[in-house]
Amino acid sequence: MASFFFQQIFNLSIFAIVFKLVAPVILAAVGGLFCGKVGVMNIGLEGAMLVSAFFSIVVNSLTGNWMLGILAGCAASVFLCLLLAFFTFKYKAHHIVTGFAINTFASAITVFMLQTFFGSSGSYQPEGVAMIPVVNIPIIEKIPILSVISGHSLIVWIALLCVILCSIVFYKTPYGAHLIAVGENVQAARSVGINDMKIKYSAFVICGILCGIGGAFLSTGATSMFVRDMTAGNGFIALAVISLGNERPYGVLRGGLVFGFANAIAILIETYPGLSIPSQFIQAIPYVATIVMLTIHVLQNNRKMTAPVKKTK
Amino acid sequence: MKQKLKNTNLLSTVLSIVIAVLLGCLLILLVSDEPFLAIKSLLVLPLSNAFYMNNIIDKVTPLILVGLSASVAFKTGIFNMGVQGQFYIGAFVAAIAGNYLIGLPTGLHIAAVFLTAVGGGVLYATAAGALKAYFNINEVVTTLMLNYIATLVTSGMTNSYFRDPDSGGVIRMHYIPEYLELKEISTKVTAHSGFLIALVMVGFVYFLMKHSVLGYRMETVGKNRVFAQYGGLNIKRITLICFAISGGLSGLAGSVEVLGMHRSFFDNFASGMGGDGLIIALLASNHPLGVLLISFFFAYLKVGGQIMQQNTDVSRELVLIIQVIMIMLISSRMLTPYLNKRKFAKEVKKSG
Repeated sequence: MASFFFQQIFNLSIFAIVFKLVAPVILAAVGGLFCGKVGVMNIGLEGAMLVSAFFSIVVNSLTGNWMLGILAGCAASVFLCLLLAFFTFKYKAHHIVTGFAINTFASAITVFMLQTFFGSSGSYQPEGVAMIPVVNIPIIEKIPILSVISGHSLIVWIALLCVILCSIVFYKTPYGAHLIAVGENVQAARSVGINDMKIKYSAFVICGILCGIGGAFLSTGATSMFVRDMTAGNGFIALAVISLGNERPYGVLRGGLVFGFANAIAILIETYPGLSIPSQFIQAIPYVATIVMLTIHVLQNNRKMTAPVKKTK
Repeated sequence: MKQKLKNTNLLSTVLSIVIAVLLGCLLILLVSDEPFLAIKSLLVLPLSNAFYMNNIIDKVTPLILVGLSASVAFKTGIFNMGVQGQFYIGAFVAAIAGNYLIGLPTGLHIAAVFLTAVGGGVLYATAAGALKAYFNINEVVTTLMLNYIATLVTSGMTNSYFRDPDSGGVIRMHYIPEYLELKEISTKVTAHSGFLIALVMVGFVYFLMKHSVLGYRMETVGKNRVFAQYGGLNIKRITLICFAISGGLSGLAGSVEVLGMHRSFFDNFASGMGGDGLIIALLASNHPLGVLLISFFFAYLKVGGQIMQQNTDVSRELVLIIQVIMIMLISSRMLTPYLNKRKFAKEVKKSG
């Protein structure tokens, strides 16, 4: 068995799986990071990705253009995020409640439309979906080990770019400073003339766009179909990844990759020939891994925080 | 004054429900070819005969229990999003205990089934509770993850180890022995007697939250954690107890569904149950009697949705959309800024 895994890792197919799994999670997590900075734990990431997955594949198959598909997905996702922001900020509804409602709504509206327009209650698999292209880098794809970085979907690169951009926006631009200020102390931010509502809503718009890209990848990049509730907790895992990454962009990338490897190993176990573990148990591994990693992470952080206290005793 | 306060709450809830249902009807008018039949199926037919009425009572039973489960947690300020997982664990354990503890005397067997199912729910919830209480790990994420784990693990167990070989295309366990089944309430009311258990639990939660010291402590923690801590309450312990009660109620809901409705554990047989529980608790503002009322309303909508899906081209997911509109309207208190303002003015007058 060990040799089987070694072989898989050696021929680097595991990286392809990892990146494919991680890209939507990282996109959603970076989006969630923006909401987190203004003080909202956005559990609506899941729903935002789901509506985007649905609308992007519908528009994609109608127009035959993947870019329009992503745009439509982003529009739907931004709409949901703005709805969430509207109820949270304008009417002071609790964000967990509204986020939960948004998720239920996303799940219901996609199935409802699936049934009303396409007469199916489970999945939608249109002909002629223009898949989001894969980036093959000309020379590098022929070099043995470096070829790892070639042949990934465009979205994988966009996800990586988003992490870098997010870091720049947070720590190098005035907008990022305003964002953090609003999240940490609204009164103080207001007193220096920052329009906190504008900042809050803009964070949700950015979150919507990122979730939209992630959702579009699920239905028109990683696969070419829509299945009801196909996000399968990706948005929730993104929330865990945010905690794993200490709410920092590069931390999110790291947390996402750790999660991706755990998940990829699960998939490798599943494909290991002649194994008789029920497939559902293996599918549960990512969720178990998320809880375990979160626990370890918090324990480590607690130790760091309590260490000086113990010394003074 | 308290009475007035409740009235405004009630008024806003009723108004929100009416508006949500109207918007749902509007949606039907937009998408359906036979909108009037659809609206009639949704709103009128569920109350038209005894069969559907019994159907509503059957459906309301688990809803009450999961609604109570969520309301106990929310009241303590804990977002137990894991009702679904605890429900499945309860149902699964009940089916296992029902099928494999054969040989016990009847009474003992029934007790064992309920105890193990509730125990399963309690343990499963307390796991997340312990992570929250001792390590301060956000319970929203862990309980959501635990939902997926419960769904997948019970599904895998049922598929691979406990599947009834005679079940044909359906994935389920053996049917439980007949003496374990919850009987019909009476010859006229053919709904199963799990409903009575649910009613008892409404009473229990009402007593707990309104008339017991523990309930008062839980509510204090829910209202203001810091204050509760300064007041000398053991927050960790109360968090754990809250998770245990909440999980126990969800587990009980699962076992009642298995013993009364399905007589076996079917793979992923109630996927929206947890969500319903959370929504019901929210709409009822965590009041046990409110949970009872809203559960009835939800069961009525569910039965209506089913009839509508059978009779017409409108999918029953419409009911979920109506529910979401309700939560949005109620949780944001959009409809009553005016009423609230007036209430506030009165409060000021009274106290001043």
